[in-house]
Amino acid sequence: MKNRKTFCLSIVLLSSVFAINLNAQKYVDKSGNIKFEASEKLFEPVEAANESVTAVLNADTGDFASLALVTGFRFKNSLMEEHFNENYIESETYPKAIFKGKLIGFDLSSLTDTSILVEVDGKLELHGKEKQVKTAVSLQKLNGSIVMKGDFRVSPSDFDIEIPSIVSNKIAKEVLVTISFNLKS
Amino acid sequence: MKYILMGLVAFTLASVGLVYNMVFNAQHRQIATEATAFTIPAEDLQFHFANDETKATNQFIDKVVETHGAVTEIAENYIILENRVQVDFLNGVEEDTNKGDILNVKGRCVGFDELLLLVKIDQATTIKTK
Repeated sequence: MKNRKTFCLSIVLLSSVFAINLNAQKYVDKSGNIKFEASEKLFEPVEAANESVTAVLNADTGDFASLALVTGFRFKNSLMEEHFNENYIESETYPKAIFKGKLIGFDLSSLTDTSILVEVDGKLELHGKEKQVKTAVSLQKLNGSIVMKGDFRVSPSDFDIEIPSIVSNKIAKEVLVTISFNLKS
Repeated sequence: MKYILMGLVAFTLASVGLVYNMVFNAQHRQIATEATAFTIPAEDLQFHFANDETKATNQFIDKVVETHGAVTEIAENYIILENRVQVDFLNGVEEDTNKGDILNVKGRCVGFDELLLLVKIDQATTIKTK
């Protein structure tokens, strides 16, 4: 009888420990911002913004993932938007851009309202191709949410995106991608 | 003769200019006034994507969709219907929106977010509130 009691108790204890593990603290942003710019001087700005990007951070492990639906990038010029979707990024075939990686040495308890720089290392998948991206992002804790900001550069050729020679002097060889997330628990 | 020629040149220039303007400075789509391609409950829309993403993407992406369901989450610039469809509004969320309201919205289907299992719709407008 006593044995049974301890058995039950250990089950309860074990499951509570397990429950804590399952309840990994996740911080999520469902309307994050990603902008990219590939402008060349003297030509019309080549830039677009997506204001409905998803970002998920596991605060226990530092695992980070972000997903942008490519069709959600809006350009000022509608023709540019059309070309981007139909000719370059082929958004009907490759509708998503996904980043999966890790914030190196992430420690939730060390975050304050003063921003710190943290290394991010991971893989960006776009247009059916994958590329390693390593960059530093700034992190700060504001009103209980984690604010993450940063930027990095990629080239269209990394993702097998061909820029026709007729417009190649109007589009920069390197694209500057700027991210801004407000992750809430 | 001279005037006819001048008129012709002026006409040609004007048409070239007009066509150039139409092609290169074309207006963005006005989703709110476009004809609706699909009318589908929020739950069903998400089911299509969760069930066969490629097929649903080909069917719905960039199309004008009308969907409805109960509001399960409200944020500054979006709402979520039935925990399944995220709707980003053209002009922000209407102030008197509450959780549990049945909302009927029209917007552009942007695709499926596999991290949160949500279908995303942007440039949305409310059609009517019950």
